[in-house]
Amino acid sequence: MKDVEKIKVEHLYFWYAKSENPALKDINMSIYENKVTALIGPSGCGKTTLLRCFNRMHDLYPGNRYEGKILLDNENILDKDYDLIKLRTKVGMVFQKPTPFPMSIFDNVAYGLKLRGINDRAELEKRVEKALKQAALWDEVKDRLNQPATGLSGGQQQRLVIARALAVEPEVLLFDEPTSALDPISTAKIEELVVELKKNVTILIVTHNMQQAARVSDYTAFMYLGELIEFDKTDIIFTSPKKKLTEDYITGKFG
Amino acid sequence: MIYNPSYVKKRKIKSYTALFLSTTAAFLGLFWLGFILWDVLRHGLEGLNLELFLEDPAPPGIPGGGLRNAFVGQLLIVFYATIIGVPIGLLAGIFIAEYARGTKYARTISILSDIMVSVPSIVVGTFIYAILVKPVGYINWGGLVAVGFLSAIISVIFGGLLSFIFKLVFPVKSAGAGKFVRLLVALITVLFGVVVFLFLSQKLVDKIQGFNGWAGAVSLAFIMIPVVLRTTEDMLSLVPWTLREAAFALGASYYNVIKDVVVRASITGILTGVILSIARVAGETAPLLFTSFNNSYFTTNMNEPIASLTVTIFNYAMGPYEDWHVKAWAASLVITLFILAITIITRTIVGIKYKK
Amino acid sequence: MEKFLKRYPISDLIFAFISFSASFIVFSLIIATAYVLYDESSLAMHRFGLLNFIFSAEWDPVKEVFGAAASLYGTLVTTILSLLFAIPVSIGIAIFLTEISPHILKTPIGIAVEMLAAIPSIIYGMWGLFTLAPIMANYIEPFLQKTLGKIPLIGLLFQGTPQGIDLFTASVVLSIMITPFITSVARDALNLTPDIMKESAYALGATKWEVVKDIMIPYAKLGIYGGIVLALGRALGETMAVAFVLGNNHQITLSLFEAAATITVTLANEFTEADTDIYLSSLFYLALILFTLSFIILAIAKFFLLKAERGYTR
Repeated sequence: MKDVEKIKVEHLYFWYAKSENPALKDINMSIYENKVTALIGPSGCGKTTLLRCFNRMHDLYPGNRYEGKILLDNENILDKDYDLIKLRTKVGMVFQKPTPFPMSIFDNVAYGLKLRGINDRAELEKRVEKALKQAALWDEVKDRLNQPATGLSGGQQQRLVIARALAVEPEVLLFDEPTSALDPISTAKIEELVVELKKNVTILIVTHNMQQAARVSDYTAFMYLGELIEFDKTDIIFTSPKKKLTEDYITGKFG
Repeated sequence: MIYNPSYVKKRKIKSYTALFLSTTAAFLGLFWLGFILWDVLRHGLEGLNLELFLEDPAPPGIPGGGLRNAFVGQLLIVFYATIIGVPIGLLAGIFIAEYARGTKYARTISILSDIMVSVPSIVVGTFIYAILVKPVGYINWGGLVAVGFLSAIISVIFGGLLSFIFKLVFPVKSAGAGKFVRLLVALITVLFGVVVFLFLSQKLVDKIQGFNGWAGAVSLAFIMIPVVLRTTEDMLSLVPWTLREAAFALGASYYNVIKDVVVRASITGILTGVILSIARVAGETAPLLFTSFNNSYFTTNMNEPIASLTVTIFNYAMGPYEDWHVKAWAASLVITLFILAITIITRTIVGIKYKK
Repeated sequence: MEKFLKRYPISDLIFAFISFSASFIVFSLIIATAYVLYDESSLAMHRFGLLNFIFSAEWDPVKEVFGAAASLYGTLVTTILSLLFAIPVSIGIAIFLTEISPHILKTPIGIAVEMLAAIPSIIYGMWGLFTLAPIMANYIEPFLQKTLGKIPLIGLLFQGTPQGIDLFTASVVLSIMITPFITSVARDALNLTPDIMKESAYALGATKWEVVKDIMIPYAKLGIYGGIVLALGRALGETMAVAFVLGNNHQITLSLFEAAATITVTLANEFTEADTDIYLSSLFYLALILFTLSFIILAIAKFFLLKAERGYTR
């Protein structure tokens, strides 16, 4: 079965406010449906910048600007008229640090649903339970759904945030170094989860940990100084990269 | 994907409405400020002329004259308040930020002064009235304590100057001679302090009858102390601890570290705090109403009731004469400009100095 | 402390002692204030008792009968009303400053708010008396009478001839005065919401208002409470801004368009006129009540703000 294109990036340039030099230069790549795509590269290479283009997080700060196209289901999401709320409903995001909101565990997961007008208690409970189960957190929190989310451990918080993103049934999920603040055991759990989740959603993950990229992803993009150096299936990138730069990075010569 | 376009539209409208209301609130704030300032300026300019500063008030109801008595009185009261309040606030701030750093005592004092800053200023007035104005005819304990403070402060300043002069005139080489000179300076300072105390208590305590300028100055000092204390504490705690360690490593005593390193490093911030505290009390009226009271004649004698701009504004504004109202506006303009100028200048200095 | 004693020379001891004495003055001043006010008001305390004094509305210097109820009522009404006006506006300004304002407007509006806070209260009083009171009497109060005044029950609040010198005008002046206090504390508190928290909410598809309402305000909750209680303390103890526009009339009226008195206004107007011991003592009693109230309220404010601070650093 051939992989289906979910997102297509065409000649994407990006400038931060007040900056002459583009932070992203002429990015072209495809993200395939129900696959995990990893973005790797040394810090400052633009991998997080690129990730934040997919849900237009950059729009929060005035002065940032894009050029080129990102096609999601053949619609250009960089279009001025594209509804950001629709985009962010389709594309969820998990950040490098757990971000539980100052409310209970239940309300955290239900937050996105309530925003979308789902207020029926039974419906909410059903969906929250489903999301927590998907995030492999249900068994740990089912007895204390009404306690504040800040009481959970770091790893649990991160899975709660994943559940929160999953609850609104996104089609794409962006992970921005989701394990950088976690211990090895929690990290392993999150990685397992990522692999599990790709059955339902398309996943993009930024990581500075090459082993992580090798373990979880199907495709890998190597970036350097704002450019996409190489993009291919993960096993190809890690075993026989075509570019010298990629090979140097993979083998730890720099970065 | 759960997406309902019409519901999203509703949410967006709600969001825009709320943001619009917030923006309106901000412009309402600007509007009030503009309204008040413009009004003060408009009415104030009417009465603003040289006479206002150079002449004393004409008898009630007769136009003309100025508010020289009030300007001078205000300056005197604020000046003495600064002399009394700033050293106490500074020293106290240094103590809780340095010697008592991190202790329960320091936290308590710091919290108490935060509360003291906001104690109703009219209550301060009643307190000072009870200790410095009311006691007539028997031993004026409040007066004695006040004079005690005053002479202590004067003698500390004197001692500082003296040791400075000694250092200039007899540069000391050996440690033993240095100790001797310090002992000498301390002795002279203490003697000087006692003389000043006796002199002032003779001069002041007996003479003070009823409302007097000192009481006004002390009540303003009451308000200044916590302001200076808190800014000093904050500014000193911004000085990195490693800087002190570096000085300790050179064998300096804590006193020298404070004097030569910590205070020097934070002097801009401390001075800003002092100036802001002056701005804070320059507009105070309530604590002066029944301490320094008012005086329609020119005086520089702090033992008597003395006029201040703010109390004069209150009396004139509530009074029946149109000419009084004009003068009250003019005085308001002068005070407002003074305070706003100080505030803006110091904020700018702080902004430049402490930005990231 | 012991290690200091061992390690540090005599200059240190002297300086530490002097600066300690200075810091102790802060402590003693508060204690002294409480004691002196208590001592001075003991005469009235014995004559009238606490409950009798607080609940009696009679204030008659000629008959030498004094009760605090009218002053307390005026203080309560002006404080609550001014908070009602000030809270939405100041939180609105804080939201504008943190989330809406373009970068170039942030500083000027921030400075404007600080200027509002720096203007002395006597200026507010002057402006209230000569500018706001006539506007109130001629336009706003008649308008309110024609509209809200027609509603049963609520209408009772707007009865009488609008004079402009009344509870309503005093509350408006007070609310303008305390707005900057709430604003600056609320702004600082809102600013402490981590960017990543806001981004997470936006990433879930929240609108700006939803982020403010659901994430930032809960985050800044303690700080905002602290700011409000702080402003409450200010409003309670404010003298000059109110003294000009309240009229010093010892009466308890339901209508907001009547002259009234607050504790501070009573003190400001009558302290120098008190010709009998019991009169003066009753005024001191009022001052003691005010001091106690504001001390408690400010302590609560401080508690909130400290707790908020600790919450953020965690």
